[in-house]
Amino acid sequence: MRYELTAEQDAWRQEVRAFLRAEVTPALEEEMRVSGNEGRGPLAQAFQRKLAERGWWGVGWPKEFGGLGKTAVEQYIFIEEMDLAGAPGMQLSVTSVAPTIMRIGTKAQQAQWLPRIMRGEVDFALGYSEAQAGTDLASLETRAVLDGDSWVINGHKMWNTGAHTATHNWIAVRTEPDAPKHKGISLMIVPMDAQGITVQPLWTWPGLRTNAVYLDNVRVPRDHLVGERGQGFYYAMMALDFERIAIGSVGMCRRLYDLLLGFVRTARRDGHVLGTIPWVRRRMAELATEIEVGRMLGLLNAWLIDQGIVPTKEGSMAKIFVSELSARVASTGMDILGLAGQLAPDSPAAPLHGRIQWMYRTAPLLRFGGGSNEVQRLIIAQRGLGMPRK
Amino acid sequence: MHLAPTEEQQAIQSAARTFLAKEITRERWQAWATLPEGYDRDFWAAAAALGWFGYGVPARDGGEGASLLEVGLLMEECGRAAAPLAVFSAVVGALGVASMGSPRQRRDWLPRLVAGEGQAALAVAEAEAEHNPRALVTRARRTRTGYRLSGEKRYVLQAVTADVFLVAARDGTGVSVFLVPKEAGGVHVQPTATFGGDRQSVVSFDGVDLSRAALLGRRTQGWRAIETIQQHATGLLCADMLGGMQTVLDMTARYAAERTQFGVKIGTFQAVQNMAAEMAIATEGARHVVYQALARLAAGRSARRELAIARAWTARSYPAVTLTAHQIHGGAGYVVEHELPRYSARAKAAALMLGTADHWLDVLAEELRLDGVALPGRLRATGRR
Repeated sequence: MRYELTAEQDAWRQEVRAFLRAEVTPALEEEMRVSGNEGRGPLAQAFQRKLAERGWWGVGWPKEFGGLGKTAVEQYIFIEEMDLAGAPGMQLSVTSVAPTIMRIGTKAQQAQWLPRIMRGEVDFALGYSEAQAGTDLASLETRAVLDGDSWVINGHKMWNTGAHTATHNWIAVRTEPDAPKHKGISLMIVPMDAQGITVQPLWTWPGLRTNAVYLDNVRVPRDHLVGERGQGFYYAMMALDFERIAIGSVGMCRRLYDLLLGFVRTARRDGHVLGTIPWVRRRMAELATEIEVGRMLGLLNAWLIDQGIVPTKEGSMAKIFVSELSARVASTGMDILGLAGQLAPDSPAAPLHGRIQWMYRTAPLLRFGGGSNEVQRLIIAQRGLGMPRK
Repeated sequence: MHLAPTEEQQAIQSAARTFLAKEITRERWQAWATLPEGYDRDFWAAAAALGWFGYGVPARDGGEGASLLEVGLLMEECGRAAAPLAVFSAVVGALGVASMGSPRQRRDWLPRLVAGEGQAALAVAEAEAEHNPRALVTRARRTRTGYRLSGEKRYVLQAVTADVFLVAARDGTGVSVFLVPKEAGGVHVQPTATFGGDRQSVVSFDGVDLSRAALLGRRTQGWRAIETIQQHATGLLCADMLGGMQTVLDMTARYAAERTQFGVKIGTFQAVQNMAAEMAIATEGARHVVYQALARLAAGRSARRELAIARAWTARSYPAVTLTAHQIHGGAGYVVEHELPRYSARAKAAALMLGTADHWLDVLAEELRLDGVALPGRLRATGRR
């Protein structure tokens, strides 16, 4: 057993860290704070161009597709460092859509989409959920019917985050209405400028925008169906597995923790430096313990993938633990900040730019999104512990 | 990075597991519960024949020279089988003599300890002292020929079977450690009944006369060595707890898959599956923070932060896992014939031994420099690799 990074992994971490230290500037952070998820500002775009120039756009992509072909542990390290530095998040086009096209797309589709994703010319939103199909994705009702050389799509998508800024929507639609519900779904690429699309904003608690998207007789070319007809549900699940390396990263928790650490070391309340107050010390130590446990679960998941093992339960463990830990870090952080913890980010007096209270509002999404934690617990119990389904 | 035991390490664990499964039958542990020693001679001789008591002792002292991490693998198996804590105590005692003893002391004691023919036990805690050397009341006074030791140690594991104690005592302004044979005049052992069923005693030293050769390590400078031994012991105890968590998780998942209520297996209920999943997360998390700490200790690196994390996590989660297991087992796991109460009691008792979770969280808070008095290069608490 060895718990230290190898020299190679450590060098990679140092390389990523040095890059981020230079490139994640206060001005970029300010731009990101102001813009929320309303597209990317000029500084964020410049940052992403620099990532792309280094090939860091596709850290985990296979080399034949122009990626770096890094191991899962190296991907984990990259993501943790990105989160820790507060860098602009990787786009779903890169982390989810592209790897799926690499796996299941035809040669022609790969040639059509991958270079454009790599160059940042196309940007995908993900449209899986609907009003009546959330955790139970297989119940989705949006229909696509083949008409000559086009698919004609009717229905709607919910929680279609980024649909208002994306060039394309990557959606799951029912193409085989007579098949069992898990086997009637296909994945399809819909250009957002196609006729018949309406995008309505949905504003969420942390102030981030997501969307309801209505599709009314939207026609897309026949070759925009990716992979095999009827296999879309399974592809969507596979794509979630790609994301799970990222979802299990404690980088964001560590970022908030380090901010809090700086705060308690200097801020005073009632005549005491916060970090000398027993309950503050205890809770900070508890969080440090849990962050280390979460980091181990995330690394374990990545390491197992590199051993050629499909992690049955470890990805779910990391997802549950880290998402719930994010909520604890934020909640404890607000307790420690005290009355100042409630100040909104645009209040000049808000400590740590209001990031802690923002995470308090963001953490619920981490818990119910990306495969709700209740479903993950069933996966652990049934696949990991062999408990019966029926 | 390699987050699983190597093949060789798996072989160590698998051999220990097979041995313990064969030895520790229900009849046997029920019989042991009534014995003052907590085990029988045949078991001890069999474990000794496998070289367990010298496993981590350096080869120069007749041991096998295994690393602390490998000793941890063995302790994990002992925890998995809820083997008598006497094994843990003897292993720690031998490691203590090996690390602190002079060549002469090692020659005098280690051959017997390694062979399992004798046991050494740590005697540090007192009624009003656990972690603060200034609070120790046991005192050594200098005499013409050596020292006279007076005081009372508590919670001494396996004092009933130990042949020699490693006693920490005030000596002027510092702490000295002495190797005190049980047969020395003035040593009295009074067994204590405890919750966990492990064998602990009050050991009193009523003016015990010791020669200068009884001094273990440097005079008045012994506390640091005691801390190091206790850190190693804590790491091993964490491994024992990890093994116990795994057993409790396994037995609970098995029971839930077999037990029928309302016409279905209770393991099909989401409420039960959720509880089991939580147990599994706690256990898998424990595994890696424990072995991370042991790996650092084994490499001789500073591991106070990692050990505090491992200890805080296991001391909180092992008892919690056992209590959830009781909930899922219901009455079936509540009777004393069932194995579960053995583990539940051991879990909470182990959570008190060598510092509670709260103590170790205080240690971690120190390591994190929360008060802002940071040492250069230690500013990033979690940023360390």
